[in-house]
Amino acid sequence: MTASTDAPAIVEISALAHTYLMGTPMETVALRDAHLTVRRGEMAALIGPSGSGKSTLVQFVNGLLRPATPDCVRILGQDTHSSTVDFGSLRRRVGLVFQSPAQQMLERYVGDDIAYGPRQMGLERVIVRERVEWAMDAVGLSFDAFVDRHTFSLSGGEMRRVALAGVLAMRPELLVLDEATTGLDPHGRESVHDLLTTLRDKEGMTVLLVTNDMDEAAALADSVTVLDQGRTVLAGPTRSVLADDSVLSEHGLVCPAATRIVGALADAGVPVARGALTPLEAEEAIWQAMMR
Amino acid sequence: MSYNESGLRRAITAGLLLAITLLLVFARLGMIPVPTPAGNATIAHIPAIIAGILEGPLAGLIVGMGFGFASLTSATIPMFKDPLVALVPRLLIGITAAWAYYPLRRASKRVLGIMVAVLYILLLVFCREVYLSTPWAGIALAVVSTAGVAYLYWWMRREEAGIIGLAIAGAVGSLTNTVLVLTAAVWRGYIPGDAAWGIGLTHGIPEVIVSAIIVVAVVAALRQIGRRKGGSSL
Amino acid sequence: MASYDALRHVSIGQYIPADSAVHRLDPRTKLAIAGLGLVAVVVTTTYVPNMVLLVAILAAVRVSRLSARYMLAGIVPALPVIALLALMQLLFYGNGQGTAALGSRVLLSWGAIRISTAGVRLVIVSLMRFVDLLFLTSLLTNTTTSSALTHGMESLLRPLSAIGLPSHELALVCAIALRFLPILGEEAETIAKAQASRGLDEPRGGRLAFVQYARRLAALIVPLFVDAYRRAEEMTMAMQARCYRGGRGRTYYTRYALGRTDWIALGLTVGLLIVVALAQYSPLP
Repeated sequence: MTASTDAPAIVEISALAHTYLMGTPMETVALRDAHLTVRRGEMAALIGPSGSGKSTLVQFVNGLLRPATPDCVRILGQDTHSSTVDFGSLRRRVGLVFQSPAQQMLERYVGDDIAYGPRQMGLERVIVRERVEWAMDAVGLSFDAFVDRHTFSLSGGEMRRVALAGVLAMRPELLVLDEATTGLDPHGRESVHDLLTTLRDKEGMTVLLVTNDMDEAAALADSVTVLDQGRTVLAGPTRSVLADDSVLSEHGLVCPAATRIVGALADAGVPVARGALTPLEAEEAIWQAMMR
Repeated sequence: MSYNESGLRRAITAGLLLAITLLLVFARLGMIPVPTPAGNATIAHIPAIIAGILEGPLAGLIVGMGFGFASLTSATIPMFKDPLVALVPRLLIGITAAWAYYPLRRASKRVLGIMVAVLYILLLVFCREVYLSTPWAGIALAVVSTAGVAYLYWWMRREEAGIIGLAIAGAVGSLTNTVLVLTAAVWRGYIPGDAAWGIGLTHGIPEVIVSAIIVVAVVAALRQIGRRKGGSSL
Repeated sequence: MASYDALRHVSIGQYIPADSAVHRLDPRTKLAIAGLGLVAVVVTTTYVPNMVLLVAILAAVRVSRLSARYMLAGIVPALPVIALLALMQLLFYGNGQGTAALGSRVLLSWGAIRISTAGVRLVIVSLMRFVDLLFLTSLLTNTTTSSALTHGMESLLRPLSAIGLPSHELALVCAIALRFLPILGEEAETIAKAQASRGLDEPRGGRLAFVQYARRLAALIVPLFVDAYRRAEEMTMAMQARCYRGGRGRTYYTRYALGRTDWIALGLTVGLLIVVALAQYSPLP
């Protein structure tokens, strides 16, 4: 499940600060001292309470926002402070899916919308079609049923899938999802999780997941970075970050449910090992305890 | 006046389009750089056109008035701080677009073709008048009109009648803006007639094209019209 | 695309709270005075009445405790353009109308260039008008909140609904527009960013690629409009579900009443206008 920790880092953000509308009466500090490292081939999670600056940080990853100082943000080896970076091509290698799908619909028809990215890349018609078919299949939308639908007549869940397919069709090296499963029903969420795991394992895509959901991060991620009030307060492999309840609650977060259950049992005197992250691990630990 | 549902919806649509206008004007958004000395073509007049097309002349009037006030308030040059230049002409943008769209929306392509031909002839007559007072403008206008009409015919062959009607209404609204504002500016003595023609041709024409494109895109998306080939082009 | 950070904070002429007589005036008074002032400024063409108006407006700015410098700050970047246009006006106005009027003398004539006293007067009066209107609009928007303005406007126009002018609809339109301005601003920002993330390229080809630019702007605006339209439909239903039935017989939560300061202000304005009218129609320069 875990990628090798000597894989090269494709996102290296260190000591990043950002203030919106600096110099005006409405200025707000979004980031104070943010660090984020994502290695190639891994699934990383960025978690934090609302208002912690996650969405802002993520916009630095695909170059929508640029740092004020050099050597702060390196994406795919390029310093985004420099003005020689080709942002168009960077944004094709780093695909960002926003939380609100309706605002990402670019074309009138679903097929054209998903094909937008590949067409912008100048790929041939045949390849564009292949990509669209693949992307639609990956997100679970039937090609024939949906390709000619009007984008604005879709339901919320369908639009979300189209938005995701549109980014996938560009075959990015790094896929960034900003709270992409918020508001989905459990079934929908599960299918997205399966999709992400497949993308990482079979396609070698690196995934950065921005989420509020600790259970989701625990189940999927190899490494976790915790952001609070614009500062990175914890970062490291999932197991070590998410198991520490006291530090997490300082920042307004809780452990995954499985960890809490196991922790509560252990506190009550049951001889069960702590630190389970997923329901499966918790079940295993409880079983072990019962076997003794 | 008792409120039926459409009256209420008209007010709300106009309100939202007015909000978009204010956004465009005060955030200085939607400035499209064009290769002319004056620098930027504007799209802030387009919501007024759309209001006229979607909800009728009254809505167009209100949004146009809002555009006028916004333009007046945010203006930084004397010419546009004058209400007779910035405000009064803008009242008519939505109205002319509404009046142009109303008969056109169900016209067949043949009728539209004939209309364009008639318009072209009138335009040439107008060019001749202009030629008598400002020769170079008359010639320029004639050349532009001919090129425009030729392109229009070629484009009309491929498009649906509904879309053509929208494009024409959009163009009419934009022209109203350009022509009336420049006329007012000359009448109030801010710019000489020659300069007005210059700005009108170099600014007005890109604005007409841009307005037509955007009006078609927006209204077609809203009304789901123009099902070209019925689907995506994959 | 350029940074779209500021979109959610767009506002029309920021309301600047302060404690001054002008701030305390009823919005209807302010609107009426602004309207009359507007007409006066536009209609006067000679030096004396314009000087009178300018002095009066500057006095009003003083009373409002606002900073004239702040109001002027916005036009500083445009000063070169203003200078250029003024120059063009001065040199070429002679070709327009009215040079023979009111004893205008030609000062300099060379080819197409014709500088006359009427031209000089037009340039100076135009500039004065410009400053007048700048201060007038700033005064109005900086001392009155948007909702007060909307109330005032509707109140003033209400008598006209007897002849069919939909004053309530107008006020409704304005209230909705002001309420949704920040919301739509934020949405435009999000849409632009989302689209940029899908590989929407910065338009290449410089200024000649304006058709491409227009297409791209359309791509930004279409989702904005469609979303706005959808809100419009939802809002219509919501309002009707709350038994909204139009403007007749509606009462309001906030009530405005004219006070002594209002009547004084109105009186002063009327007096001023009489003076201005007399100056305009007298043989004064």
